Amino acid sequence: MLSQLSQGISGFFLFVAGWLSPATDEFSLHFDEPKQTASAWQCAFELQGSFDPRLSDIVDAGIPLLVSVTVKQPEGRSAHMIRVLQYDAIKMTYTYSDSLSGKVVCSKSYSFINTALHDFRKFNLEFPRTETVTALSGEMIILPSRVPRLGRKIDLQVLFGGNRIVGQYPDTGR
Amino acid sequence: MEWKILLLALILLLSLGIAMQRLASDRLQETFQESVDPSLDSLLQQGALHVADSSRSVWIGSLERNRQWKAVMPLLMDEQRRTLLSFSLGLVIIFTLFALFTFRYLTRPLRDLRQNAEAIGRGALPDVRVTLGGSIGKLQQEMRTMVEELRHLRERLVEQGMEMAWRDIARIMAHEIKNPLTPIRLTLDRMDERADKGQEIDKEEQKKFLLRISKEVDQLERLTTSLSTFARDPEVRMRPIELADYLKSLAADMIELIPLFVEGKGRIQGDPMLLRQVFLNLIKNGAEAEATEIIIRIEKKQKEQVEVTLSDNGLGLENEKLQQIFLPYVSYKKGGTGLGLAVVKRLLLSMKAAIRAENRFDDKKGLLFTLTFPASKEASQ
Repeated sequence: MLSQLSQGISGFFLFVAGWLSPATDEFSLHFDEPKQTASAWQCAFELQGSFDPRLSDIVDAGIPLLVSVTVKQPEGRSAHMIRVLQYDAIKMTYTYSDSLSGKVVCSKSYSFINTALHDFRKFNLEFPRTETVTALSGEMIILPSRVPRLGRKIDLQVLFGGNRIVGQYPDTGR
Repeated sequence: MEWKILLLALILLLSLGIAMQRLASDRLQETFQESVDPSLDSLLQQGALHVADSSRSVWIGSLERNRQWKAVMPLLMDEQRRTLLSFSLGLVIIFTLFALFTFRYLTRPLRDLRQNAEAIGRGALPDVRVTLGGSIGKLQQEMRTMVEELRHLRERLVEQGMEMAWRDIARIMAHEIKNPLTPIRLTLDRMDERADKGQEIDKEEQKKFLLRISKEVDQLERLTTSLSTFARDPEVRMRPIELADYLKSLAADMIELIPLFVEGKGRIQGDPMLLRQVFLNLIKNGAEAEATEIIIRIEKKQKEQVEVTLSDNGLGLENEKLQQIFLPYVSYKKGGTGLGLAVVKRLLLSMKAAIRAENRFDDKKGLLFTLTFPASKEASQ
């Protein structure tokens, strides 16, 4: 009972601390240097951090993982996309799809979730070539996922230690 | 104090609540996990692979349902736990705010009552407000009534005291004025009687009569002068005074009345005119009490005070009488106006000095006056 009580006290303080903190240090967005192509500026970035082992069970169960990604320039221009990772129980493959600028782009099919997650981490957004991209800030929001067979939604932010993951270029370490 | 108790109660309540909740949800999660058949997933997967295409979707649906249940259940439990915790926290905060408000609402009137009681104890008459009903309200009402009664009582006492004081003054003044008037009237009657009878009053007798009348008129004049001095606020001009020199000079003037011996020294802050009046009164008082000598000792008692003791070898007084000698119109000697020592005290007070009287010895022989003056820090002028 005493240990339960002490767990209760520490749990309470941890809960309050987690509640107040805007994001966790576990996950972050790491930007590569923007590259200029013939038609646009390509901004590549990656979600860094270790995935929770429970995530594979979630995805294997047919629950999609949805993330909303927004990358902004200091001037105010931004690019936005939604990425969904899902499992096809009939084909037993994993795919993710990106919704951006009114079109949906599907990835290839993966047989293993680890490889799917490996590519799921990587993002590529484009900005018009007319502007010079010198600085970027990115934000990823973990969206609530629908559990189709149970007829409800579930918030997967607990697997990421928070529902907001941020990063910036150049990385100032903040 | 209240908030400390509340904080402690809050921490205990939350800790206990969280511990109980965790215990319950852990047990529930274990039960859920044990209720799921571990081989069901592989059975459903095998089934989905081998059934006909038309019914495969049903198998896939069951497989997904089973997996989703297993995957989501711990997260749901966590979510429920967090929701419950937030709810408990909210409840506790609401309870705390309510308790704080109630505490304040209940304790403030009690605190006010205590402060009012203390104020009454100090002699003030506070304004007691009736803000509540019930027992506390009744208590406030009782205290309010008590304060009102005290106020009336005090006003009555003041009125009575003033009336009594005036009566006493009138009585004593009438008596004091009548005293010299009686011999004057008697003398005049005697002179009138002689005149009626056609008897001549010789020069010697005439002188005797006039002297008697003059003496009584002097007494009347002395009485009115003392009364005027007592009633008037003295004009005070403070300055540093080297007391030993001052008193030695006074002693030289008084040598015919009574010998004065001055010992010690000290510089005080005072008004030389008022000081003269004070010491003349005290010395005269000693002489009239059959003293043959007066010793004055000056001593610097504290950093900011000089103490002067004036002791005589005249008649002493009973302790009860000693306590009253500075009251106006109180006199224990024949022909006294009862204003001399009252004037002394008043003049000393105007110079921020104090006086007390006691018998020199237990056999009530000789009086000792102790005067305390503010010490002067300035150089003597």
